[in-house]
Amino acid sequence: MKRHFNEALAQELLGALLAQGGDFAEVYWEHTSSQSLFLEGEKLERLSGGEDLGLGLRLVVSDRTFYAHTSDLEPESLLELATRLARGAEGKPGQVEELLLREAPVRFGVRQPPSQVETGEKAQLLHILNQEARRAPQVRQVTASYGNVEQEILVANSLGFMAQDKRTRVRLVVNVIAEDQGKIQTGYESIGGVGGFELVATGAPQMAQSARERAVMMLSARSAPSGQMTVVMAGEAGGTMVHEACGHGLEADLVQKGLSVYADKMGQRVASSLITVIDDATLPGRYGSFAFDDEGTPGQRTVLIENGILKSYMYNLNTARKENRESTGNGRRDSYRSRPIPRMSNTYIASGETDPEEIIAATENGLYVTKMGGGQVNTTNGDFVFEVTEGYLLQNGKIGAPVRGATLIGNGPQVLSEVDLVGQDNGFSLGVCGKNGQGVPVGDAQPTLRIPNLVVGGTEGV
Amino acid sequence: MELLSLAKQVLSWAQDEELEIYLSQNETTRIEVSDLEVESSNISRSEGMGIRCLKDGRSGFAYTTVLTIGAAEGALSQARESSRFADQDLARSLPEPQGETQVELSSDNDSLKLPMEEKIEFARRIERAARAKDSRVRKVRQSQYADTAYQLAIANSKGLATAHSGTFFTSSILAVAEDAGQAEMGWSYHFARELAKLDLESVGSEAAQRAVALLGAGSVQSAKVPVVLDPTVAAEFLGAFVSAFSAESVQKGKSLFAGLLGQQVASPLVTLVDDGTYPDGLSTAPVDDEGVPMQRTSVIREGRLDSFLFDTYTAHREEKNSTGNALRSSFRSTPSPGSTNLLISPGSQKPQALIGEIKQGLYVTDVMGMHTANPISGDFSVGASGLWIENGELARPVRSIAIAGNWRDLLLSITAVGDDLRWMGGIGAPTICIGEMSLSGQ
Repeated sequence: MKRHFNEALAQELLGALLAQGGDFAEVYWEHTSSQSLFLEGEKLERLSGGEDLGLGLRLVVSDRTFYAHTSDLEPESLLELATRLARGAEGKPGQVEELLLREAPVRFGVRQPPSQVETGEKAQLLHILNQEARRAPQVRQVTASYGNVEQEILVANSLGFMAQDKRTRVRLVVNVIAEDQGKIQTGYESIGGVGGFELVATGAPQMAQSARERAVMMLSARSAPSGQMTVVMAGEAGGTMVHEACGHGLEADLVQKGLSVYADKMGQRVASSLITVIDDATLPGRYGSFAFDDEGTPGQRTVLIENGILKSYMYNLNTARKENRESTGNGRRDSYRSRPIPRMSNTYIASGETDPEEIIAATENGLYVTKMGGGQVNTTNGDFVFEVTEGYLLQNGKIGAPVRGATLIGNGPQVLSEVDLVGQDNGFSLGVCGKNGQGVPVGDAQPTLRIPNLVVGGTEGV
Repeated sequence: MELLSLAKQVLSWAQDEELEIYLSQNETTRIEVSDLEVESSNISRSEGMGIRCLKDGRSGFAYTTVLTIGAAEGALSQARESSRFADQDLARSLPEPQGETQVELSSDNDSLKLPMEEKIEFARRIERAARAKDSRVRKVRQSQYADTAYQLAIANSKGLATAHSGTFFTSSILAVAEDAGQAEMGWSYHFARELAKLDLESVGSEAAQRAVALLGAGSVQSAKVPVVLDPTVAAEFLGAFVSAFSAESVQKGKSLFAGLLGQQVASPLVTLVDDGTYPDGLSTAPVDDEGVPMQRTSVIREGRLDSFLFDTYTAHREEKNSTGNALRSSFRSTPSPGSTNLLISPGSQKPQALIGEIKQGLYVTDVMGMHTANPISGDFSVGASGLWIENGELARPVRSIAIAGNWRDLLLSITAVGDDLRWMGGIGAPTICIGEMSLSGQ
């Protein structure tokens, strides 16, 4: 179903892009169908579907990138657009290699393609979420949503690479709102990943229960403490911390522009020797997995930090070219509307050797984090924040009273150097990561970790 | 094909149902320079349509980026198919034609046609100004100029048919200042509907000044202190909690202001207005995203909650009129209530005078993690950086701290509002002072 597009047209467009020279040209074709269902107020009310078809053209002339995108796929208007972009270069026509289709290194199985599942069956999941989530008198509102995306891409470039990929993703989300004496708290859960309907077909009752229990429990939670303290992050809490504390700072575009605290640190110690950080697009079923990145480079496993030593940054084709090395397969974009930039896939801190229970028992006082929400980083100075959506006080090595949400703030290199205990466990979370206005699906994970000093942004005990 | 004529073609297929078609088309040129060289140059053409189908109170929606009769047929049948699975809600209906509001809206199609070289020079002027401001500005990221032309059309089977178009121009930059091995970032942004009104140099120098001001920043002790939010931060806070004023949030039990109409929800110094007719505002238009005339709505008047923001559906549920606040993020989504141009009315005091009255406190110029704030409970806890106030003076830069509280308490404890209204896209705010806030540091 390569609508309005084929190899010959790709070859012709690449030639038009390089008509006045340039170092690299690329054509990216995409067709995405999506469906979403949304339930709120006990009613299934927003059902939508759609298709997005378009093309992105890229021309690189030394350090300059020229990019254009359009959803008008008439060959004449595509050629006109390519010619407009080509004006960025001034010289003799560049060389376009003959296109050769690349083999996918991994294939992610899709047992139940979402397009073949009845809308009624998807709707049923939302009704289950709604019913299960309402099994507590404090619950005032439940929102539940289901979404699936089937994306087909074809990317071809002047180096002769051509790759085709088909990605199927599903996601199921529930948000429970509980109220007691005017106080409102919420509980959120999501499941899904790269794959078919099978990834969400059975998990609804359990996720609704977790979200409900969290919302209700948080009603009785006290305000989070304020100030510096020891923080233990459970493996099940997700991986927002690693994503913010070092992930973004290891993206090559930020490093090359000198906008990362990790610039000029290759081969140096940037974390405790207990810390190994890996980015791996080839993990089956994870939300950030892919066979090819959005430039046609096969997805890879890249060791970023090994036993505390900085081993690699994450590259796309353009940043790799500047250092005369290979892309690490991290060139991603949110759609044909954006040019690819270095992005994470599934990023995690490798498991350590300590029993998580021992870590708790060994911690006199502090905060125990069992669920993380979103985060953000200032890569220039390394400061990052992440949200705690479920946490408890630690008192004399035991888990104590629950505390309400708070943001934790730390400095990436400092925090990773201070981690003094690493658990044997690991738990993935999924999210949509935003950078330069582009959202891409990612997975992240970390084992149970102890950080001796982190600022907790609560309101108590000031 | 002309947008409205395609819309009318689709409407002619209406059976025993209500149909709406929303079409948009835009073209943006964006140039980013770094070290005064073009780093990237983008041309983006985006177009698409969204079709809403309503039958017996069941609503379905579908979109496509292909603007042809064939694609429209496909989308319509998908929207119909979806509507079959929707639960019935008889309040759902499309608006009747109600005319259009006369708005002051400049447009500048001539400047869009300027040669690329001139547009590149605009982006360079931003960067030059940043570097000229202070020699410690060593790098820039995203010194950017962009222009956009857009047009959209909305038509429905009740006879509504409307189209409008416009232009806007934006400038922005992220500057990095370095000194003594420390690096700090500062940014700035501006938009205008005509090129002549777009700030270039002042955007560059403001970003530079923000970055330099933070050099040498350290932490402070945890405390409860008065906090001053600069207009960009005040706007960011307002943006995070906008949904609390949406009638949809209220009706679904997701607003902390539910049931508080007519009551004191903010300091008497606070007047909050949603104004879809604000001259040359980012969201200003003759009609909202379902074709209802735009209007000016008082949300909070001197601290009292005056009105929520309604679209046609939420208004029907309460037998009210839409306030012209139906919004869509693009043709890919259905409309729901949101703010158009939302502003905290400025006061009369200069920001310096507000700071001058504080013995010890924090002046916040940047926050991190605002998207983690909970618009339903109103709780927020965000990273902050800025300047420490000592005896009415900006004494030293601070970072690696967090500020936390609840949106309702924040509104009630506003002690002063500055005269320096500033628009950050569709949200406008002046400097505001908060009596006391929890600050977490060392």
